[in-house]
Amino acid sequence: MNLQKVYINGIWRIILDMNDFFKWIIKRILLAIITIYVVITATYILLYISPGNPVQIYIDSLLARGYSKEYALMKAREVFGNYVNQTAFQAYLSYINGLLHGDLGRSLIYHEPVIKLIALETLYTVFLVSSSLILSYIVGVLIGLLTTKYSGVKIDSLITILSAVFNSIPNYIVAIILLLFFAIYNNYFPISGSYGIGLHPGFNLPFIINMLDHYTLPILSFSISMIPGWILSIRSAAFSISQEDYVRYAKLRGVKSRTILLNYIGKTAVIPSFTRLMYSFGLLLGSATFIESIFGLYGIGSLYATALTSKDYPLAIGVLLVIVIISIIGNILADIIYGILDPRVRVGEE
Amino acid sequence: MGTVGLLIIPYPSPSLANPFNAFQPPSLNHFPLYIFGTDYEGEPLLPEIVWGTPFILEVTSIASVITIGVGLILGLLAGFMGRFVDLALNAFFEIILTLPGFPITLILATIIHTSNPLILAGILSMFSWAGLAKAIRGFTYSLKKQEYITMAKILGLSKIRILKEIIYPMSSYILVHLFQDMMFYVFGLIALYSFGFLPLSNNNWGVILNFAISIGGAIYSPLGFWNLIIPMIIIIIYEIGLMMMSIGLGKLVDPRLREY
Repeated sequence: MNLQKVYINGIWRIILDMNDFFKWIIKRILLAIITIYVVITATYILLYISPGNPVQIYIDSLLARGYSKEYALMKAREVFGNYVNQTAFQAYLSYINGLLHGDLGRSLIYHEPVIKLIALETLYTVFLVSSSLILSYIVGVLIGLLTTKYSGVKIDSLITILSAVFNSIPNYIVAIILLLFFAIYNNYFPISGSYGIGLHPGFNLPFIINMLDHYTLPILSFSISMIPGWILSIRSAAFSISQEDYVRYAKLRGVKSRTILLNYIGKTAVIPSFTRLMYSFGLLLGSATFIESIFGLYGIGSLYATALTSKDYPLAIGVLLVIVIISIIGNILADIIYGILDPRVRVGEE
Repeated sequence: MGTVGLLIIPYPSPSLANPFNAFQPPSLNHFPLYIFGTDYEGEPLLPEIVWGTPFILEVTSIASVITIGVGLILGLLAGFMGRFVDLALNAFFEIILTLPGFPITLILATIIHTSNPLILAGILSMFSWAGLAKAIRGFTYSLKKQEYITMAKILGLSKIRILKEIIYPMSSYILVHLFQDMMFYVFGLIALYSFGFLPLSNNNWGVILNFAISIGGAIYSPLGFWNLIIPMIIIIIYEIGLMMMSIGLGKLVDPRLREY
């Protein structure tokens, strides 16, 4: 009887926990929707209301060239969408309506709808960012666990110092150095471009091999500046876990040191950094701007740089919105996965 | 270098410029004027680098002070007040945290397009205080439950005194954060300048990099090589210096971090 009661109590407890977890997730999703809404409003204000906004500048430039006011307004409507000539509130509503239907306006320099330009380029950037994240994460975790195994030995302090030094070098500087020494002075890798001339993008073998060849240096330059961060965080997490009682008890019980490192310390140390992996996906999408422009790759990063330097604001805002939405979705996914992996999170935030 | 060097090295003057002398590699002629070589106008690079330092120092330190100030005040507010203030501020932190700060910084820098150090510092620090604020909120929560704070409340110490007792254990974290922020801002500021998102009117490391790339074609030709490499080495040395400073100060202030 008593045992049954405990059992039912346990199940009830788990259901309650899951309930809290779902509440928490719903809260996160609501917050994300609010965030996206705030960003959209902010971009609207930047584009159409702030003094010296791009629309006004565009109309003024047409007027200065001697066109009539009607023509300038018509042209602006063609470029920025159908809300140039409306009252502020109406324009705001139709701006949001347009965004919901995937209408991000037309690019000023490419003369094409922004959504069409962004769609394909996003794939390249996601490929670059995710592959360099995965590579750096695997290498970082492995080295981090190895340093825990050999903690106190000279190799450990050497790796710590090296990773602290490399951690403080910005990734675009790493990229320029790699480009100089491995592509320009020695022709080990192609200098620029996402793939060679005369290849058709798609899932065929020559294209994939060629693309990997082109992406080696960009991925490396991302990874080199990220691996130290993973090493340091894994190392400190693993160090604090190795002081815990259950690890010391396992050592006293005579469990193999390999098992202790992988199962007892490794699993617990890796989980918190796994969320950081998802979070940094969004961050990297932003900093891909520099790497992509240095290596001349296709992608939303280099598109963003071109748009900004040539004052093509509809395109820039479109790219910005895509980056914001992708990183927010990444964050929610990270939270959900973290909640599944680590039961402590499910109960509440405190 | 940015402080002592200003007294020794003359201000970069166009009179030294000589177009026939452009993009020279480092040499020992007229020591120490030409040890970094010359730039696209034939001007010696050393004075430009030395006189470009104060601007970088100014912007990055203002930006990190803003970050620390805003983060500390809002974090303490959220941790102390609790209830609705906490709920609202925490939601605000979450919103700021989930935004990718760097692309937004880029677009703001392009639209505002200024070299005013205060505005630049504001743009740079706009999104990075939220992490600190959240951490300080957490710290405040856990410290508020400590026994010595309860004792202080029972003893009737003033609120300012209690606040001091709460801030003090966090000081090493805040100091380390200050220098890490500075590292991050140097990274961002120089990127903004060298990729041409900000006006190239004044003189700093990012502008030198930009000219090396755009005029010297440094990436694809050996012409601007030294103009590219030398600012990069200086930046790396500066970043490593900041990092060591952050580690050292953290150990100085917090005895728990010291290893014997």
